Amino acid sequence: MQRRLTIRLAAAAVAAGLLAGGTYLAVRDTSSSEGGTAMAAASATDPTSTTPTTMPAPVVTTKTDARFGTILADGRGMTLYTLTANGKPLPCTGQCAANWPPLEAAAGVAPIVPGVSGVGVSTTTSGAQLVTHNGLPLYRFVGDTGPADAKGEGLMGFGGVWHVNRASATAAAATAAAAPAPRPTTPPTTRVPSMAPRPAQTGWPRKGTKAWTY
Amino acid sequence: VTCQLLLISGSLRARSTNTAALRTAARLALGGIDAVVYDGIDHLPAFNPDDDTATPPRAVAYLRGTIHAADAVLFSVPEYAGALPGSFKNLLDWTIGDDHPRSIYNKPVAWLNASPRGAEGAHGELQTVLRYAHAAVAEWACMRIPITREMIGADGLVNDPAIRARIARLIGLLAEISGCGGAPGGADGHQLEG
Repeated sequence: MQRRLTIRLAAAAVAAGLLAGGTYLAVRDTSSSEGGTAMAAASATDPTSTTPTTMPAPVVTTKTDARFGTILADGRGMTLYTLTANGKPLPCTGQCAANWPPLEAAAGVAPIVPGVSGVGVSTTTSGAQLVTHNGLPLYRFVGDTGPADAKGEGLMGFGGVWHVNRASATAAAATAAAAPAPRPTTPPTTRVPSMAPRPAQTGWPRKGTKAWTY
Repeated sequence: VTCQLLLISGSLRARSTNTAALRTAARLALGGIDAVVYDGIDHLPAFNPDDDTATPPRAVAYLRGTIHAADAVLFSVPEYAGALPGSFKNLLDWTIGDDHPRSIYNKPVAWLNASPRGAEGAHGELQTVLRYAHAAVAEWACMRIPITREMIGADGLVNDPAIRARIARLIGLLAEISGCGGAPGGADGHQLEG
C-alpha cells in the first residue's frame, strides 16, 4: 500500500527528476508536467492563441449568502440568477446578455457541478448552449463585483424579474449533509452561528503570544 | 482505481493535526479511491511571477503535476495570525498561473476544517483564493471536523473512531460528487497495514 502513504518529496528526488518508485503521483507527474510545459510553450509561441481553443467547462457551485442562504454561484463565486415572468423563462440576448452574461457551455461539454442537483444545459434557437437550473438558464449580473454581492435579486428588467437560485444538493451530498456528525462548513459570518466569538482585540497580542492556532 | 484525490496540508509542522487528518484520510480511502498526501510544500520557492513560466522551478512543476493527476483536491489548513499560513498561500499562488487543462482551474476542491476553534480567518481566505483560482468548490463536501492533539496516536494518525468515520465519509463524498466514480467511503472497520 505504498501508494497510499505520504510521499516524502525529498529535495534530492526533486533534483533527480522525480522519484523512481511506484507511486502514481510520481509516475504521472513526469508526463503530466511535461505535458503542461509543452502546452504552455505551444501557446506562448502562438500569438493568435489568446484563449484556449475549447471553452472550459462551466462550473456551478454553491455559496452561502447572508440574506438568501445557500445559493448557486459560478466558479468564481459570482451569484447566478434566473429571469422569469410568471415562472417561465424569457429570452435574454443583446443588451440583456450584456448586462446579464449567461453561463454558457461548449457543445458536448458538461458543466462541473460538484454536488449540486438540477443543473443541465439547454440550447437556444441561436444555437448557444446555456447552463440551466431546473430548466431555467443561469446568468451573472454585471452589477455584482465579487462573491459577496447579490445585487441583482429582485431587479425587474427585460420583461421579467431576476432571482437568485437556492441550491439543492445531490442525493449523495444531501445524505452526507443530513447525517448528524458532518456538516458543511459555513462561512465566517453566517454559517457557524454557534461558534463562540473571539475575544475582542484590545491591542497587539502580548509578547510571547503564539500567533498560530491549529 | 477510479478516483484519485490529492490531499494538501497547509502546515509544515511534523505533528500537525491538519496533516494527521489528511494522512488518516489517505489510509481510510476505500472502494476505488486512491488518496495521497502532498508533502512538498517546504520545497516550494517563494512565489515570483518572473519564474511563473512554462518551465517553472522543479518543485513547482511537481506540485502542478500532482494536481493534474488528481480528480479532486482536499485541503486542510491551520490558521496563523488570523489568516492562511504564508507558506500555504505561497503554494496556492503557484497554482494560479498554470494553464494546463487539468490545473486547479475547474478542479473540484473541498476542505476539512480540523480546527477546534474554527479558524474562520483562514477558511474565509481559502475560499477567496480558491474562487480566484476558479476551482470548483464542492461546498457540500467541506466539513468541520475538529481534531485535538489527544486524538492523534503514536502512528501519526487520528485514532478517535467517530472522527475517523467522519473523515472516511468526507473522502467518499468528495469522490462521489466530484464525478470521478468513487464509491462512498466505507465504515472504518478495516485494519491499518503497517
